[in-house]
This record gives sequence, structure tokens and C-alpha cells, in this order.
Amino acid sequence: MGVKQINRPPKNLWERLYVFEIARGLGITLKHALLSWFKPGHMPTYEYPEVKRPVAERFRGRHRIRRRPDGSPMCVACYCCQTVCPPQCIDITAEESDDPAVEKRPKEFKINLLRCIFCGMCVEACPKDAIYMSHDYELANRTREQLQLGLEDLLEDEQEGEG
Amino acid sequence: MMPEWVQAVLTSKWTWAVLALVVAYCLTLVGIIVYTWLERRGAAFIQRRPGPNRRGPYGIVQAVADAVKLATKEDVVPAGANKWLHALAPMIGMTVALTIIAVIPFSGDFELFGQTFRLQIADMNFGFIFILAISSLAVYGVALGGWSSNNKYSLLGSLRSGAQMISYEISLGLALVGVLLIYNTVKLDEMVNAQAGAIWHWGVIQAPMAFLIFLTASYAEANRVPFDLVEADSEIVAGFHTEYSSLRFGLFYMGEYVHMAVSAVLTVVLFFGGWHIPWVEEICGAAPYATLFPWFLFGATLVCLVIAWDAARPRRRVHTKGNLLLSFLLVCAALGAAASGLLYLSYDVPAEVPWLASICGMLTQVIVLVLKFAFFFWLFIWVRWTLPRFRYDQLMKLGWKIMLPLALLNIGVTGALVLLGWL
Repeated sequence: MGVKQINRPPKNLWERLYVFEIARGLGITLKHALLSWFKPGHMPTYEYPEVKRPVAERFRGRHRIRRRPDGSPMCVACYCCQTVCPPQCIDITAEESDDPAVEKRPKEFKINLLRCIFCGMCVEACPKDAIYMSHDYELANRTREQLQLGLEDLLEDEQEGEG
Repeated sequence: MMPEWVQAVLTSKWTWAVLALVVAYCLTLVGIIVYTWLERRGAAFIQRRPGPNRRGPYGIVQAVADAVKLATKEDVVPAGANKWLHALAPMIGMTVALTIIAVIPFSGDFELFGQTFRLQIADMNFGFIFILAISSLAVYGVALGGWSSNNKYSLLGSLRSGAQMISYEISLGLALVGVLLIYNTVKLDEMVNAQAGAIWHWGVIQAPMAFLIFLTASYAEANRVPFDLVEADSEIVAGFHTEYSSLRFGLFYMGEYVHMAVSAVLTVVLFFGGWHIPWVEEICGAAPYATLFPWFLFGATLVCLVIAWDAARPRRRVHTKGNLLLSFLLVCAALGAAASGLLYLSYDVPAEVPWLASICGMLTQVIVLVLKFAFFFWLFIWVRWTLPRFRYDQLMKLGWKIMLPLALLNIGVTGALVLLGWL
């Protein structure tokens, strides 16, 4: 019951002698070894710390928050991302904005990267397109505290253009 | 012309015994540095990846990093383990493998001031039997290691090893009986000398079936793929060394490489003419190896220059600068080798300085042996990354139903051929 019988093709005498087929296998592996030796550029690997693999455009790395042209964060502290976040790693504290055109701004915007699952739903939820996920994936750190990102960690640099 | 004491040193058997020891240790213990590197780089190249290439030129210092890692790890002895046997097992494996190399001759007889020497640690008149006797003890290391660990996986591994090593020991011994019949001696140096001259004097051509069985069985004896059921990691964690850590594991690991080295050197000695080059006497005259010595130096020069050129090149993919110090040292070595070769040729050393010629001839023989050995060591690695592991019933079927009858048949056929005078 549930057992699937597979009829393997019978081996001919040459294959059953085994030695020759082993020799053929050795030939195949030797071919690969020699190719790696003489054409190392053809290896499908990256020498990681020096050469970084290009990531896809839609790659979801560490979050960034965009700035307005005047440099203030584009975030309006609407709590959409915090609400939608499945592991609840976003923690926003809102305050009143100085700019009369903007109602609120984040006083604190904390992301716990240790909890984050990089699902990107915060990006989907953002009504102002303020939060996005960068291509920065080298996130290892020595302490847990350094992986609790604050607003100043998340805001993109002044010269950093629109992502 | 030559100080008394130099002659005394040269004609002392201790000098050559120590040199034999040095060669033996280089092939086994010191060689482990190269072997682990070769294994990891070889595996990587076969799998189309670079492998360890960071520490030292071409990553060759990787083994030292491995050793430091192992040495600084905690040495865990599991609760309920038999402490003494647990400590003893890796030592047995290592000791057995190291003992065998004592009877391997690394060079032919060479004459110095009327005395004859040979690079061999122990010149036993039963060397061949000694190898068989000692190598069958290797199973104790694995079996005791697994049994004393108080772990079911370890026990399974050691049970497998017991069955496997004993099964293949039989085929190994019987395959070598055929070789004995052909060479008509149990002394290893006489076996090698029987393979001098034409290439069809080599054991592999005289006894190809014995060679195949010996090679297969020696892979099984060394617990290497495709016969590594003893430590089959997909089935029984790591088999007999599951409960080993730190340098005790290191000792098992090193023991495996020493075992491979010994198997490889035995293959060369028994089947591939040891230190002999076929037809060398027809080509190079009465003292062929002394004549060839400068050409080996020039070969070394060439190899050094090629590596120096390669090391000086900046690495495109790793984006490192070339290793200029290494290339400089290699160029110096190459110049030295070339200069010695030219001096050797211009002074006509074989004719004028016979003692130097016989030492150089001996060194050439060691180099020839080591080059052949290197191929068979690489074969171990090559096979490991080519063949998948046998299932247990396939292993037993191969051992008892195929190799054992073939070995017996081989004895009969070889015996008949020897009786008829065809071999």
C-alpha cells in the first residue's frame, strides 16, 4: 500500500563490472577539479567579504526611513506599520510636529531587528511611502542592544537619494 | 681530502636510520598539514568552489588553524564512558598506522665507502607479514572507541567497523598472497627490486586483479569513502567518534590520514615499483638515479618558478595582492636548485665523488617514491568525492561474494602461471 515499484533499467555487463564505471566517474570529477584549477573565474561562487553577490531589486534588507527635502523624516507616525507588523517589532512614539502642514511626527521610531522577520509588510502599509527596505543585509552585531534600531539609525543619510 | 668525522657520520647506520625516520614522519605526521589542505582544496575543486584559500599561500596554513581550533576545544568524556578505553582508542588507531611505516623501504641500497645502506627504519625479514599482522589491529581503535563511548550511534559505528574491517582484511590478505607468489619473497625491499627494469615488471601489470582487490580493501581498511559506513554521518551521526572532541577527535582524524598515507605508500611499494622508474637503467646507464638527480633539481626549479609566478600574480577573484615574499623565496629556491644541478653536472659528480653521487641517487629514489605516493594519496581524496557510500548489504556483498572469490581465484591463477613459468 502506497509503495511505488520503480523498474530500474537492468545494468549491462560493462556496468556490472563496476570498475570501468568508477573510472568514468573519476574522469568526471577530475574534469571538474581541473576546470576549477585552471579556470577559477568560472566557479559559480563569490569570494564573499571582498566580492558581494548583487541582490535583487526587491531584496528586503534593513529598513530605512526617507527624509523630506528639508531633511525631516517623511514618517507621520500613523502607526500603520506598527499595527500591521506580524512579530510586533516596531515601536513608535508620536509627537506634535513643528511644521503646520504636518500633523504628527515620530518622536521615537524603534525597530527590534532581532524580532523582525523582514516580511516587508510595514512597507506595504506605509501611506506616505516613508519606510522602505534597503539592500543592506550585513546585520551581524556583537550585542543585542546594537540591533535595536532607533530613528537616527533608520533615517537615510542626507545625501542618500530617494531609494 | 675529507675529514675523518664526516666519513664516520656518513657510514654510521644511525645517520640513515634518522633520515629514514625523518622521511617516515614527513610522510605521515608532518604530511597531515598538506593532506588536510589537499583534501579540502581537492573536495572544493571537484565541487567547483575555491575551498580554504585564506590562511597562508593558497590556504596551506589552514591545517594549523584546524589544529588550534581542535586543541582549544573542551575535551568531553561522556558520563558512563569507560574512561580508559575512551582515551586509549584513538591512540591505538594512530599507533597502528604509524607502526606499519617502519618496515617500508624508502630507497634502494646505496653504497658509501664500501658499506651498504638502505633508507628503512626496520629492515625485517618478515616485513610483509608484519604489515598484515599490525594492520589487523587497527580495528581495535575504532571498535573500542565506539564501544567505550556509551552511545548507541558510536556502538553501531564500531559494530559496522568490526564487520567491515574483518571482511576486507581477508580479501586484502588473500590478494597479497598472489603478490607473494610472484615476487617469491616477504621482504619489501626485495619486492621492490623485483619490479626494476621494464614496466611490465611492475606488480600492477603482473597482478592487476590483486592490485584492484588490494586497493579496494585498503580503502575499506582506512574507513574511507565509499566504505565509510563506520562514520556514516547521515545515518549514525559520526559513528565511532561521535563522542570524541578536542585533540582526541584530532587523533582519530590524524590517524585516518596516517592510515591513508601508509596504504598509499604500500600500494606504491607493492604494485608500482617503489622507487624505480621503468627502463631507467637502459636510458641512464649503471647509476641511473645519480645521473637523474640534476634533472630532478631542474624539475624542482621549474615547479618553483611556476608557483612563484602564480603567487606573485594578484588574485582576481579574491582581490588580494600577490604574495611577493613567497615568490621571492621560491625564486631563491629555484635558483639554488638550478645552481646545484649545474654544479653537479659540471663536476661530473657520479664519476669523481662517488659517495655524493650515491647519496644524491638515494634522494632521487625517495623523490620518485614520494611522487608516486602523492598520486595514490590524491586517489584517496579523488575517490572520496566521486563515489557515494555503499549500503551495508552492498558492502557485505562486495566483500564476501565478489572480492573474496576473486582473491581466491587470483591465487589459483597466479599460482598456475608461476608454476608454468609465465610470471
